[in-house]
Amino acid sequence: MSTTTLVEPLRTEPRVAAASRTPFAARALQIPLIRTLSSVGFGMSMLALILAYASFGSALPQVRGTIEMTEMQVFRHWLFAGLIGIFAFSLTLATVLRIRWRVVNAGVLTVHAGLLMLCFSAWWYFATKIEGDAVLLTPRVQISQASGALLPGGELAARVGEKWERTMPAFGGAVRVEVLRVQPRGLRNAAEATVRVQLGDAPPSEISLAVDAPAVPVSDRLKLSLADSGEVDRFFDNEVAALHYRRVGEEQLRWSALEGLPYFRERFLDDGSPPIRDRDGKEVASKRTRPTARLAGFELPTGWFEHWRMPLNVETTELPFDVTVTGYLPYIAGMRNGVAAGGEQLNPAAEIEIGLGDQKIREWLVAKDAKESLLGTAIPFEFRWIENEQEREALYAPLIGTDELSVEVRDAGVRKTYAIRSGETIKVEGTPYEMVIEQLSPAWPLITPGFEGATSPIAMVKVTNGQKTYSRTVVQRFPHLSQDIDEAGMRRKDGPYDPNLVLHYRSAARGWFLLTAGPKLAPMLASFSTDGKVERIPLKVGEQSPLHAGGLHLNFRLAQLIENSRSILEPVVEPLEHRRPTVGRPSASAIRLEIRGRGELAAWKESRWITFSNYPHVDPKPIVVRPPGDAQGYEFIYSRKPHSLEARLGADQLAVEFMPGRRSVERWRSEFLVQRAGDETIRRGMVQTNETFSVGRWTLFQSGAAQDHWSFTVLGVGNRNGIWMQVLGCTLISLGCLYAFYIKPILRRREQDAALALAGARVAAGASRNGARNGHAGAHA
Amino acid sequence: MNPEMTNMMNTSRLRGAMLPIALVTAFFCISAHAGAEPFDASRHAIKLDQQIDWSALRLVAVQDGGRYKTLDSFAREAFSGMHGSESLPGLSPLGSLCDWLFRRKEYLNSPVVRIKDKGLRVHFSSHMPDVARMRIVNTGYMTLLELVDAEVRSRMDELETNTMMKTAMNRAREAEFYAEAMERALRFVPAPDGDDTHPWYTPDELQANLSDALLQSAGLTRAKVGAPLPGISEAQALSIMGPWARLKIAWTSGDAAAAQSAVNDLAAALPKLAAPGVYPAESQRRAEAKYYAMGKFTWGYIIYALAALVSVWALVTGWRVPYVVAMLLALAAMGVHAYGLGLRWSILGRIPVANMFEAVVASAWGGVLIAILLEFVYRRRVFLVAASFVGFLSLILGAFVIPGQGTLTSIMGILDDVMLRIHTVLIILSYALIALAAVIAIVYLLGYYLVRSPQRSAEAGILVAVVGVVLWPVLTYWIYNSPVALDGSHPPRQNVRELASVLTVVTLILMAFARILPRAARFHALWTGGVLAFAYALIWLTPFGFAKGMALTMAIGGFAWALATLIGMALPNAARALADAPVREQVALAGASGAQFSDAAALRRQRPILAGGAPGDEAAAAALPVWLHHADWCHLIILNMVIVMLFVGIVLGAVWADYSWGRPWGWDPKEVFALNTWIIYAILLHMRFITKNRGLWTAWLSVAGALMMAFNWCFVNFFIVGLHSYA
Repeated sequence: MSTTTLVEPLRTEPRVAAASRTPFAARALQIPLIRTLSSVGFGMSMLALILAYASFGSALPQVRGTIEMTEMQVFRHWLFAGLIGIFAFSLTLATVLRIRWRVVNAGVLTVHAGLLMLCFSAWWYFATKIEGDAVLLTPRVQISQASGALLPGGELAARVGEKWERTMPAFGGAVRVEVLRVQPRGLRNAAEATVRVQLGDAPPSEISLAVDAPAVPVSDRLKLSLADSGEVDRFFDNEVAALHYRRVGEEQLRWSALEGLPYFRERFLDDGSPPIRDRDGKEVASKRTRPTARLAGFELPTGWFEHWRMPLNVETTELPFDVTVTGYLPYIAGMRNGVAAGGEQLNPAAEIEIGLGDQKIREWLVAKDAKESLLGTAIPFEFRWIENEQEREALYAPLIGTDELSVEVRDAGVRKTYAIRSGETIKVEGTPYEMVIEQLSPAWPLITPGFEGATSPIAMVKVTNGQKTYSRTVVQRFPHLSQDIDEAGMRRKDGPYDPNLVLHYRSAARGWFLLTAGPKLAPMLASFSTDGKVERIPLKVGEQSPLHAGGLHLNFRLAQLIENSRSILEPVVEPLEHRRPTVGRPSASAIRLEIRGRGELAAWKESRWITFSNYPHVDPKPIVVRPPGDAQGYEFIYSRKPHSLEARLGADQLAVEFMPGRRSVERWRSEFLVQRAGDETIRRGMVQTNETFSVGRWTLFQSGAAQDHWSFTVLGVGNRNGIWMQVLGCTLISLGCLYAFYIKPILRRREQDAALALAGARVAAGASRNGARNGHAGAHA
Repeated sequence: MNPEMTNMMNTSRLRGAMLPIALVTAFFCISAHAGAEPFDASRHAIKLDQQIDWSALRLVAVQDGGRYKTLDSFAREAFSGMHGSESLPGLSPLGSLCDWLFRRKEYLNSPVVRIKDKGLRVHFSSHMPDVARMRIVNTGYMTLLELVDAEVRSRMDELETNTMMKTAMNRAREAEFYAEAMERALRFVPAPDGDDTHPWYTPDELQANLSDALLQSAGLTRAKVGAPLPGISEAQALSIMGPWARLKIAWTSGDAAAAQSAVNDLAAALPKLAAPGVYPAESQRRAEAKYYAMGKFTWGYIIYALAALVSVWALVTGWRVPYVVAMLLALAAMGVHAYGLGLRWSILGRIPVANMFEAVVASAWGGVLIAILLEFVYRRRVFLVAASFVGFLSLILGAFVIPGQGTLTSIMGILDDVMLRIHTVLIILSYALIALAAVIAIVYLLGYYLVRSPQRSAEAGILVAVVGVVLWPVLTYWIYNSPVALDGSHPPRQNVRELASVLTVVTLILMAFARILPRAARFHALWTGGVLAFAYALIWLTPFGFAKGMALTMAIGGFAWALATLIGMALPNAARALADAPVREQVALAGASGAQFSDAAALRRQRPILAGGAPGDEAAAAALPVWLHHADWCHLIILNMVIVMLFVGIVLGAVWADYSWGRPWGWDPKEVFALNTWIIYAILLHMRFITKNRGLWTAWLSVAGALMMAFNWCFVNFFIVGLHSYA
């Protein structure tokens, strides 16, 4: 008898399985396709593919960036779902056809059943997954200026005992606000509030405030109001952007989802707009604008795999025009005023380029704009639009020193020009006038309405004429803004205090470049050196001209000159190396809308950039589009897709627990009121670090909070379909593994022992039979 | 000479070799800790420092970094941040602190500020004279005057906004802060209210509570120091400021007695200012001081290293004495490891698994414990080898590689949850088991190839080492001379990366044609191509810093492999007798009934229950040394635990994520690669059903799983942004 026969039942499982297949399994495995699909090798190959897909999709953000997919989108892509589906099918076949359904195999069967449940429930979960967030503003008392603008830091929580204090000289001391009483109403935790206000040394007064009511003035300069985020019944999707719009003046915002909007890369069509530049002035090129891949010179369509599209048509049937997204920038540093041709009236603008070595500045100067007509470089650069040569001659006249003051005393008919220095005293001969030059400033910031942000050289002169003593501020660039301050310290805004004296000031203290052009007048540049001398340089658009000033050798080019320009808002892109990877589309992106009129407006077309607003109702950054003949216009906000919360939330407070030293936070807690749909009862709700709250099918969790630790909290919102099936699947896998690893070997050992015992018994029986036979034979012998 | 005598001589020679190995190890360890030359500016303070008994002041509590620490810890951490070591050379941590606070201007021209990141060194020094530039680039040390140089400041401001430089700049800013304003972090004056989160005060802030007359006498004005701090009387302020001022005068004048008196008074006065229950307990402060003074016990790697060497010896020779010695050494190392860990746990008041240092050190200890227990049960020596290597690696990583090197830190709020104790422990313990399994796998592979094709095995190791050795200086050169280091605005060495991508593809294509080569040359061609393709891919796809680390790993790993193989080949027969014995001669056949069974069947019956239900390698093992077969089932014992523990850990992580982030799974890179690691082990398990050489497949896939785990733990943590960035 062969010894191997005895140990045959102890061989490995596949053989056992093969030997004990059911007729159905045996028949099925005759089919090559089923045999392949149900094989361990095929299953492992699928697992290896899933592993490779997951590794590339997760570890290589460059890949996700190129194909414009977030992590969530990569893993709910049909390709991944397909891989999981094939694996699950293979696993099912293997489990049914190749594994014998008996106790010893209960572990592997349980694991496989758990895996199948996990595959199915995960597919269900991710296919229906929605994630977003809602912001709750803590009810607050707001302190505003008379204009309505909020004072910087002028807010305090509407909670009893909260205090605010600020020293404000205009009120003769400290302004104090304290919340005395707060009255809730429905979901509004602070619908009304009573505050005590004290302005300087004045006696305190009590003021009642209500949400949704107009601000209450507490003086001619300050007013108070009560604000909150109202009843929050929506949250905003983390992945799908939306274009919100309404007629200007309307309350209700409508929206259209921007499915297919890119996420990570600059993608914009060439619509003839000026080039887009980054913060360093470098031109930014668009990445692919169509989902295609170039391979060996061929362009292969990849739209079957990639979801993004450009241009993207926006469904806005209620509007009298079509809206298309023609550009997307994921990371902008801000917006700036740019210039384009096609204005309806005279608005001269010059684009200049100044180079020093490798560095280049390229800027627009707008002659009629006080701020935009001057470039505040080390040597200022100004653009003026002149009507005739005489005007240019006057502007280009050399100075008699670094700073000069022209004086005209009208009654005496005296006109003189002096080279001046700070602290100098000038006696105007033949007149009683004596002037002390108190201050010369090369770049004085102007605050006069219409001139905000502009600068100009100014001279502050103290004037005495025997009858009056006053101070005059003489503004070089805008002489009409010069003002007098009389003996009483009153600023004379209505006209000069002393009209008899006319002063004009010019300065070349830092040098000065003055570009002039006019109707039918060729552009010309004057370079004023610090000693007042002038060099004139005739210019041609597009040509380089060397400049020498302040010891520097500059290259100057008048890139463009437009008479009828119009102002446009241009995005400035954040250079790649300064982008923070954690800040994605939500906070820093912008889209370009192309708006085309329909019907009567068919000839009308506009292209506008909009920056992202995280919440369209809280921090909107709208643009207003006015079709021809429509003064009211439409407001657009680029934000996120809203979802209904199926409940209404009212903000209460954000509470924070700190680590020792209060520099870092240990725990955030958001408290709110909640009223579920179809339920009149208002309940208290709370989420905090590591603790969620459920509202219908949504789970709320602590997602973000204000850095000041009180003013707002961000609640993450998400659904979780199939979660319990996932839990069950995972439990089965864990239990099955334990069984397969630690119970099955014991059962197998028992089987082995039983086989050995059986073998031993057979051997013994055989031996005794042989012995008996031999004994019998011996007896015979 | 008879064979027995030869064996005995070989044996004594081998035993004798253990002593020099131990001595060499000890020498390297001690020289690694050798001190640097003191600065000239410190000479004044060295003797004074030695004369002062700091024992009272070192235990004073300081509020810093979101926790309470001892003044000793504060000084060590501050100097680590500024100087790269816990004190100035020649001075104690507290001596360094006093000298820095009171005599900083003496150090203006001493290179005390360490810029850790080499790219920044180039940025900061490019405009400096050659001598200073070379010093800064090579050593990283800058003087205070160099640090405040306008050009350096301007470069810092410029680089601060550069995302790629963020981590490096944070480190440089920390060094700058401690160099210029260490006193602003010295918050050791308790706030007298009972709120233990209320910010404490610095001595400079406490000055505000002195009377105007005192301020005037100190040359200060009320306007300069601000309003008095609430709740602290002038007398209380004086009880602190008096000794503080005396300490300053005594320290600068070199008066040890006066300094000692001031130190003692200060140490006695500070705790009195705190409200009851706020000041940390003395036992806790003592424990912390001890923990730091003992170098966080990471020096236990020395004992682990010795244990590893001796246990390998025990494994190879099968001798009992080295086995017992190795076991004792491993137990001693584990004891030191446990003591350090326990002390850390006690100081922090929470399980120490909340940052990378803690996770590595704690999980390794858990892994070592499991391996030692398994060794006690099965006595197969391979567990002991694995335990020693894993313990050694974890502590050496903790001591020298992991950022922060074990500084005690407060825990992030989100981590302070019961799941930290369950999910994190399970995951990191499974990682430690993966590391144990990888060591066993490497031992298996070394043994397997030593038996099957020793010469090729040695050649393969040498090739990997050579490629690593060539790659390392090349990458170092590229990093130091990279355009990114000069203006921070260009992708580093884009042309080099493009070339590497082409070379990777070309090499892989050439490898595909390896079949046309003669059979004898095919192995060399494929192996060379594979190693080169890997090196090119590293340059192409990974950050240069990571590639440099991999090059070093290749050099050391390849060299170690080749050396181990060569030693194995050169071992005298006596030492290999047990190792080389084939299974047939080793198996004690189970023959209760006296029946004869095949070797495979008998081996199968000897297999431990814990090795699980997957098929064993008994059929293939008959031709291999029995210890390789044993190594395979030891490997399986660990792998089974890995599969269960890792899966349950991942699931519990999902449960935690569900109630913390509102979703159980977000395809975060950390989650994905933990799952990938588990998938590799699932594949490994199933490959045992369809391959013939199961031990070999298992070993290679185990190494792949360990690499995936290492990638997840290191690369994903440091280079990929995700929700688990703190893990």
